[in-house]
Amino acid sequence: MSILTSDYRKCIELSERVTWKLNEVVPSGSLLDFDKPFMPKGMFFGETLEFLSPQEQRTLNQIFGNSYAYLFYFVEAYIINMAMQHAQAAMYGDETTLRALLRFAEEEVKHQQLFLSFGDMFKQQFGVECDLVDSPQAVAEIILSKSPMAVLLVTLHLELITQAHYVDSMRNSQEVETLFASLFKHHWMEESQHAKLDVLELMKLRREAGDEQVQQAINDYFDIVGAFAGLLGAQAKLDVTSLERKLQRTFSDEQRSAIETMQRRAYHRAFLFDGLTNGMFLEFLAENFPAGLVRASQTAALYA
Amino acid sequence: MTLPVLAAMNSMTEGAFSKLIKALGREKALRIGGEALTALGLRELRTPNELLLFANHLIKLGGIAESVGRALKVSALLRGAAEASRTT
Repeated sequence: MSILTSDYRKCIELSERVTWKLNEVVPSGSLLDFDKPFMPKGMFFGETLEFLSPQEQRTLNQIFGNSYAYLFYFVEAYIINMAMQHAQAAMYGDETTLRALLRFAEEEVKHQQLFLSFGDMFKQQFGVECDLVDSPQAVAEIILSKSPMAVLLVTLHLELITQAHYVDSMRNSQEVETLFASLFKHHWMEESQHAKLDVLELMKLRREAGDEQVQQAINDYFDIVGAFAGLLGAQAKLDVTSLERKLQRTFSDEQRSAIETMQRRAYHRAFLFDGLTNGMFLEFLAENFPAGLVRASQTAALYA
Repeated sequence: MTLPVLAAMNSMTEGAFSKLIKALGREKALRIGGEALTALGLRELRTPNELLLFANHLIKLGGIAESVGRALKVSALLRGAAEASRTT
């Protein structure tokens, strides 16, 4: 657990050291390079779609990239709410803890603005509108109705995957579109601290929790994962429509199904499998929610 | 009702009173907190549900006590308290 072990003061110090401004990451007038893929090879499976030309595969890759960024904006709606709840609970207590949590919330709002800014830029420059799953606040409400420990577990899962995606797949890639990679680099720089704060807050609750609460947290976590799988499936379907719109081409039912299946697999792998099999996440589960380990392995197999 | 000294309180009670003291000063905090416990028939806070009851009592007082109450309420809910709980 050494990578995630920290304290509130260190989180603030690191956050202050790596902080960035929105207009530094997405300067006004930035242009995206549509000759390049957005998503790295290991995360995009479109090359298996032989009825798409290499250029069409790249277009699908870029649609996937836009959706991928949007989905982080989407989940940050509930994370901001969650961080503010934890900050409010810390009021009139330790000031360093309060600062760290307020900073967490502020950075997540900034990340939402970052992804919105990217989305606007993509929409203007891609040339056609891409369909995206709606109602982030409605989904946030559902997630936040679950056990607070489950909400933190899901947040930790998501924060670890965004880090893993950048470090393992984007950081050293010469192929991935430069601004897109930079977006996720800067996102990663701050999410590193957020994951540590999730653990600190989780441990606060875990220490006092009874067996029933711990089991409820595990059950709720997997409920959220399952619901998220549905949402990702819906996005996969929308990607097909967006591709047809951009290419001005109507696919056969078989082709549409193939694209949707491939996209769904890519989303499930990125957002669910990668979290459920993440080494740090599993280590944390083993130490604090061991009853969830077997289920993590079984659930991961569904999204491989 | 005589309150146990802060050091003798359990951690949940001590945590709640520490917040009150920070916000209101020691004398007023101990008075308001003590009155809240008395009104609830409690000597200390032992569960998240009791913390929630305590928080809701403070919220009704308004002012800074309300603000502390709201912070404690969120804390209680995060720890698993259920709204509309009753002590037994």
